[in-house]
Amino acid sequence: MSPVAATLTWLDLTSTDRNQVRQILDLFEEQGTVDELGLGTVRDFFSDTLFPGTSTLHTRLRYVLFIPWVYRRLEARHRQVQDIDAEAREQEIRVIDALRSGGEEEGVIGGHARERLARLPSQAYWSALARWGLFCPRQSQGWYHHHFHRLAGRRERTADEPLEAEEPVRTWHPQLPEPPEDWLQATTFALTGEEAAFLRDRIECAVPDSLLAYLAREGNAGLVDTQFLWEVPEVGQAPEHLQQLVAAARRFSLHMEGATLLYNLQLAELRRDRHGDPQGVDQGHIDTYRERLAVWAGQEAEETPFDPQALWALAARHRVVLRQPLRRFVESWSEVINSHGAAAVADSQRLRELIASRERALKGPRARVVNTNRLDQWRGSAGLGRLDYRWPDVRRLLADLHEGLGR
Amino acid sequence: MLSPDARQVATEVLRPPAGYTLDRTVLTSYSLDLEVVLALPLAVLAQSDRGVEELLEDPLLLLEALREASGRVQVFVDASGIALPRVQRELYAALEASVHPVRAPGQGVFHPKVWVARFTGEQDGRVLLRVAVASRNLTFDRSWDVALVSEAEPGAEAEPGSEPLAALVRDLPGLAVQPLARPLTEGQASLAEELGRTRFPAPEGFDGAINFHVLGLGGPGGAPWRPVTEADRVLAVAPFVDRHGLDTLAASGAGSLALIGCDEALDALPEGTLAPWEDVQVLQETALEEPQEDTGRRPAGLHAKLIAAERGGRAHWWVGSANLTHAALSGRNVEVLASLAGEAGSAEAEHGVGIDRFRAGLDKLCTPYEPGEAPADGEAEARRALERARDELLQADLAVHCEAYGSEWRWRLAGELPEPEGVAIDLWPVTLPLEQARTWPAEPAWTLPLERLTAFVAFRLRGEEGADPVTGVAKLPAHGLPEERMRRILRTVINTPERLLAFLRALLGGLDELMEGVGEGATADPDSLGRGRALEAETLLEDLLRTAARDPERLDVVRHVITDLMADEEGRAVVPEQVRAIWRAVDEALQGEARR
Repeated sequence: MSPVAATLTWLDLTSTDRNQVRQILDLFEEQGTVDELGLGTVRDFFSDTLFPGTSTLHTRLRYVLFIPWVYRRLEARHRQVQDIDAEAREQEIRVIDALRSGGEEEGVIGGHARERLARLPSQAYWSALARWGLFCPRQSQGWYHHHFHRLAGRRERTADEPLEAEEPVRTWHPQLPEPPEDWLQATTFALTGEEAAFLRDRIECAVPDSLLAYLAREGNAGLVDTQFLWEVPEVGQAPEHLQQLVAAARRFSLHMEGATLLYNLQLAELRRDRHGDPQGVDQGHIDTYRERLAVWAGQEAEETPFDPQALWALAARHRVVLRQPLRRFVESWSEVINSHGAAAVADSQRLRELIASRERALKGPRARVVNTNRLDQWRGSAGLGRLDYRWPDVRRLLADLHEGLGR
Repeated sequence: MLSPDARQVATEVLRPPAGYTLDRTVLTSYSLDLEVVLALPLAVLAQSDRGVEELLEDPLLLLEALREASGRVQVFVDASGIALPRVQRELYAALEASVHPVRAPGQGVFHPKVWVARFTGEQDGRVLLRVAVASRNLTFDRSWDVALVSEAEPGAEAEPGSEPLAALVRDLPGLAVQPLARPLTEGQASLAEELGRTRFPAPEGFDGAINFHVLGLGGPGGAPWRPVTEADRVLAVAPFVDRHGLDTLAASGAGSLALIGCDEALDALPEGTLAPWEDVQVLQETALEEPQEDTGRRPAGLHAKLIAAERGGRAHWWVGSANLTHAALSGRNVEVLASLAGEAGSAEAEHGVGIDRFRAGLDKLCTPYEPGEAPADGEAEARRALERARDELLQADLAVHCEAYGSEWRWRLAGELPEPEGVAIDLWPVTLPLEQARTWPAEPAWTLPLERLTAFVAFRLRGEEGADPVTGVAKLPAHGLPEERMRRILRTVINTPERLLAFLRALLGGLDELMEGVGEGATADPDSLGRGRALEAETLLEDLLRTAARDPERLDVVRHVITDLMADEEGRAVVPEQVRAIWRAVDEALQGEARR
């Protein structure tokens, strides 16, 4: 075999780390999505429990079929496949062209980069392929590539000799629908009815207790209109444990939004005091954040008091470890609000100190509350705001599914 | 050109191409986390997507991976670079033969991050060499690191561009603090010989082959290295910079000087150093992670070291371990870089490897540097004092002595330590928790069970006024380590019949089989192997016979494990009657075969 081409790239320790960086890079395109107060582990706990296998790197659902189709073709002619890494990559690039020929633009991964594509769709979607049982061994892509010839060969043998004692090794799910003819010439993201039904069954089978499976079964194409998942009408009819999970996610999202608002208010005030605010820009921010905090406090006041212990217990039931400093931060935040009321947040000295010490604990000397340069670079909005738990991405995947089921 | 999205995974860099197996690999690092080295063979051999933390959950898998990789992985690390591990594990003993502390001849640090892997074809025995020149240490850091990776088959002729790399690999045993065993030295020499006639192609967009540069192998000598002598434009990326390093580049006379660095290092520069640099940027924070109480933060900042110089439409790059500091450029440190050259192109162009093409991708992550306050001198001085004490400790003539002591063992440190004023030195075997540390000169001896004997000694140096302590691990010459230690450690892991069966399955079927069993329990379950597929008596017999025919050496390990377990009551409880019977039959047949 000829050696593979040399590369000059960034380097992460594991593929988990790599995907994390990519998710962050995507968020970086939008303002105010950096996890400034370190709430990401709670957010990810909810997102992964509600929507297992999904990621913010996912754009459209049909990718989870494109990738198996590509590999099935390669398996069928595995004897000619010299370098699976290179050939799979080449095929994935053909999919980009096929999608563009089919008129797709939005959601095409690598539409601009093509051959220089750094991020292959298969890398982004492998988590779903394994988690949803489309890739039966549930192993990594690296593992699959390494054993590609052995697996493809064994498949062949068992087909020829059905009595062979060796256990048949499946790679792709046996009921995987066949691709349309000539799909590599031109294709779209529109799922056929058969494809959609297959995917719905896989999700229901692999992650039966998740909200994802529930919405795959009960949802409809109207999901697209909702901004937050708790606005989805079907969620109100979901099984008890899912409703509880969504309620906890919603409650946490609202409760901690106040912390992000207060953090931004603090930054605006700090900067005004330091530089005098000649243009009145920071005063504008201050007014905005005070108003938003007042609106938030009104909403928060209508809720039952937030109970951090219930959240820790919920996470523990799902075997998710939330670290002590994060817990203490959330507990202190809740304690003040529960005893003094949400309306007092904007002027609470104790909460301001809490936010400042949280930022310092996370960033050290680079925290904006102590570092003038970082403060000066603040552009009026930082932090996660109202958490949406990947809903905008999952919504798109579910809409694809239901549009397909309707065909 | 190095777009932030173009990312590789470290474990994949060591992965054999299909049809090849990993024959040997040499890794160099300034700093090292024993847990990363423990998990690396498993991540590479098992092609696992799981995070290192998850891999570490499974001692049985680790053990098998280490066994399969034993002798194939050699790690050379700066003598001061082994970090105090988060968890005490008996399994670190398995790393003693492959982790080699080294010292830079020039009194600086041993800093290269080079990986060389030698693969051989399963069918034809062809040799393929892969090399990675990176900025990444063997640690859990989530920092922004760069790697240049290239592979090729050795040719017939000497390749001048690769000779410095060959020299490094050849010289590594000579830098080691403790002498290496003869076979290792010979292995290094033959790998070096192959490297010396291998032409490593440059990535697409660059011309020809990679040229390697090694600094400091002979210590500082002559003038400091000047990477750029003449240029129109220069871009440097480095987390650590000092006046000397920056002036070296500024002296190129380039009309445009740009720097991407880190706040802390830039703040500490003497006034005026940055005057010639018209564009100075820092990486924005992209992600914040909870500081962990046990390991501290996983650093997530900029760690790449790059220099790019353009002249007349051509771009010349240096990639590797060297920061822009006097220690790096003067030869005090050992550093490894690779150089590449190609057409520059422009930011909008489809092709080209120039500064603009690089910045088109990275700029959105950068923000202009604004000077901050220089760090307080006192703190840095206190830390330097502790680091000096550490270096003295590492140079001291210490050794580990082990003696049987009733049913247990006596593990003690022999030798003398300098006692710097104002510094308290805590020492303890790395297999024990920090609470068991003794403060020098209290008698440094512990009574340990056999499986906790180790050549790795943890230390902690405490200064006076509230400065953070300096911790680390030294690997010392060890006397009296009993041979059965590794078997004993195996015993601590194989402590139930289920685990014995799983281990036999891995031994006979290989790690892949074991991983297939694990994968089916989608979530990481620390005890997943215990409830892996049951190993039926018939399959065991079949597997044993197949192995006897194809690869009888593997059965030696089975024999060791079973004999060892059968030696006492506790062990016998782990070996089911059925397994004993099958093994007896196979073993007798084998012995009969051997007699014939």
